[in-house]
Amino acid sequence: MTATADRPVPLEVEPGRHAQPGSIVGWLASTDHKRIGLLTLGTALVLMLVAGGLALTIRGQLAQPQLHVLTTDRYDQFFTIHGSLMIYMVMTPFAIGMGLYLVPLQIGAPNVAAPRTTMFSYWLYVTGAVVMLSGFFTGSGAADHGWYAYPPLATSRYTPGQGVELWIVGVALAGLGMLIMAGTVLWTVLLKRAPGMTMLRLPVFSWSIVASNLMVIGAFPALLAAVGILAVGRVRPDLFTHNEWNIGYQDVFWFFGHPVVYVMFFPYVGAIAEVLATFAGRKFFGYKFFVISQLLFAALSMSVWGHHMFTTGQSSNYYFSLTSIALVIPAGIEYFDMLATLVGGRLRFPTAMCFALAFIPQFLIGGLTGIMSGTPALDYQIQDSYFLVGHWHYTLAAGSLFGLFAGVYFWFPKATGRMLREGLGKVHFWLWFIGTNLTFLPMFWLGFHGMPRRIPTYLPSDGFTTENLISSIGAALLGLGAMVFILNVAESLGRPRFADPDPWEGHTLEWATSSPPPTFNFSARYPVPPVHSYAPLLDLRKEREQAQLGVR
Amino acid sequence: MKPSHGVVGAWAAGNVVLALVHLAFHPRPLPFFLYIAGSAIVAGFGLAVLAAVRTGRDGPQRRQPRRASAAVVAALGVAMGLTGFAYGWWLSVLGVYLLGVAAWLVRGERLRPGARPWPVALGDAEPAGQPVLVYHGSSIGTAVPIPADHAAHGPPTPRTPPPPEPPGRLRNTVVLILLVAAARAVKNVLRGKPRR
Repeated sequence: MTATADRPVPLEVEPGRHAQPGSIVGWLASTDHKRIGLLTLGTALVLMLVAGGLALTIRGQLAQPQLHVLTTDRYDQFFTIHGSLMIYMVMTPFAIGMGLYLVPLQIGAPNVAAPRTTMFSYWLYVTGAVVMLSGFFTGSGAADHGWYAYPPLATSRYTPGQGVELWIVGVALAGLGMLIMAGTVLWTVLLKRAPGMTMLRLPVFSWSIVASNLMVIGAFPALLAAVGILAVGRVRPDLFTHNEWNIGYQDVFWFFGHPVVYVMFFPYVGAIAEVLATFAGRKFFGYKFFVISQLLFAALSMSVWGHHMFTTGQSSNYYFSLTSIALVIPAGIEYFDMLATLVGGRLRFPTAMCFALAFIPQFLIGGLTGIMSGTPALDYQIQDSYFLVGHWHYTLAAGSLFGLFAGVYFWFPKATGRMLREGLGKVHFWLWFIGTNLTFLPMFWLGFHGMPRRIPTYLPSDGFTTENLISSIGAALLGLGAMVFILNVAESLGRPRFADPDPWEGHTLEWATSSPPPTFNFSARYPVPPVHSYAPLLDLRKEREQAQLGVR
Repeated sequence: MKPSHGVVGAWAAGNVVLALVHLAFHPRPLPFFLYIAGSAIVAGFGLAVLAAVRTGRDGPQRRQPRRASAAVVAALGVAMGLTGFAYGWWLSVLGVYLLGVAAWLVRGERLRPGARPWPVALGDAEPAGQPVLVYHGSSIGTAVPIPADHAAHGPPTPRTPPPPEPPGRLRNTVVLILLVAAARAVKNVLRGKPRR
């Protein structure tokens, strides 16, 4: 006996009219990968504003010597929650959420595998963020031990109060959520591709998601183990009187902590690659080399965690230095591919392309200073100095955040059916380009002059004043740029300029369907076109041009 | 669709190789076993992919769930359960109740196998698999049809198909060559002639 599904036949929306936005419950309990993806991306962007606000306050405190915008305790909480939000709640979820939204579209699948599990993971992430931030409302304040919560500092003996416990729970929830979400997206890529979409026809962005999600599967269980150890240490602080547990915690934490840097990097490189190829009007150069280098890059990045522990004297410095320096090989291949894609292309320069082009030199600075700090002899000198803060922010802010915004400007029309304003986008770009370099470049000088990281203030005689002032002015420009971006989004939603299905002449399958895509991504009106390579729409466009030339 | 578990397996194997290289530098046991454990988890994921391929669970998913209410409640239950670590274990007990509610809600979120019409999806969703001539936007924004000359519709002029091969010609040739080779081999064996 079979059951019959009674369901209303959906009405066709006339072209040019609004699609049904869906009810709040329809969004919050959706099984559509696009809705879950947009929820993840939107939540991450909101949390980015929170983290940015914390960072601006920190920069306000450091703009001049001996300022007291924040108390010392509150300053510690602000930099801890700023770092924790950006890593656990913003950059990582945004990277994985981009994959959740785009990968099923790029591989011609109707939905993500296990959509309910995916929604479960989103809610773990949201509740994790809420729990972590709720620490500010406890009597002891939020966690203040830094984003990696080294014991014994983070034990209940030295940092009492519920803030740290809420931090542990928040990180565990968000980490578990991201692990599950990455698993469902990776399962989708491996098993749910459309006919004709072989692995070597996956778009570059989808490959970057494969590489980063493999790292998530391998490394994120270590995060859960690390916060588990920390939780036990909160209950029994004597645990961390033994050296093996302290160093063991560092090993377990950094086994997650370094791969996550690349989880926060690869998807944005994938987005940059798509943007560069599209606005150069040609296929991405060296596709197979890029794919192999991504997988090699991912494998090597699992093996470099010990370089965070050089100065403990208890890691294999030679091995971890060797693997860290070996990272330049796949990174170099990727850089070569990106630059070679531009050579000979018919370049266009919308906002997404500007962010993508700025990413290239800025991330290079972050990457090369990373190689420097991956060398033990140098690392012993720059450990815990502002040089590392500069390196870290060139990697994630000047690098990955620029990739993030390149992706946002590129795919916003696809996700919403509306165009962002190019003029406001350019203002955003220039404010961020100038602001980023003003903020983070002086940090290298501060590090060389001996300014330690995480100090709440300094003396005029320290000689840190000028660089800190420049850095704070740059941070203000970043805040201004963020406001311009919010204005741009509000303008495009309030006074929409409707987007075509393919406003940029894209190369991959998501541009073959409507903007925004229908429920199951493709239908008879919006079919999955034939896939002969990793740039199927470009192939078809060229076939069309050749056919038209033949007709003439 | 070709199985893709090989990518996962090769990547896990690459990590094991890097872990073995680490051995040459005399590491402490924990880092080494940590790396092996991480690689084993990835390899386990690859085996799960392989098992899914072997049991035919690849390709587009036909039966889609209509909502994820149980998932939302379950996540809240887990969050409440863990938050008990900060506020006391009574909160964890409440979380268990929420998990019970989630288990009750999960019934009926997905049609059971054999439901018709097939493929099916409940609610206001289009069926997956078979494309239909409707648009039902699932996001904010507007529906804009693809222009007639868009590349997604394929090339405008149909390509001339290549002339068909004579049926079975290649196969017959290969079979003939194999038969001759086999006959010569049998003849050599019967004559006791050593192979050169």
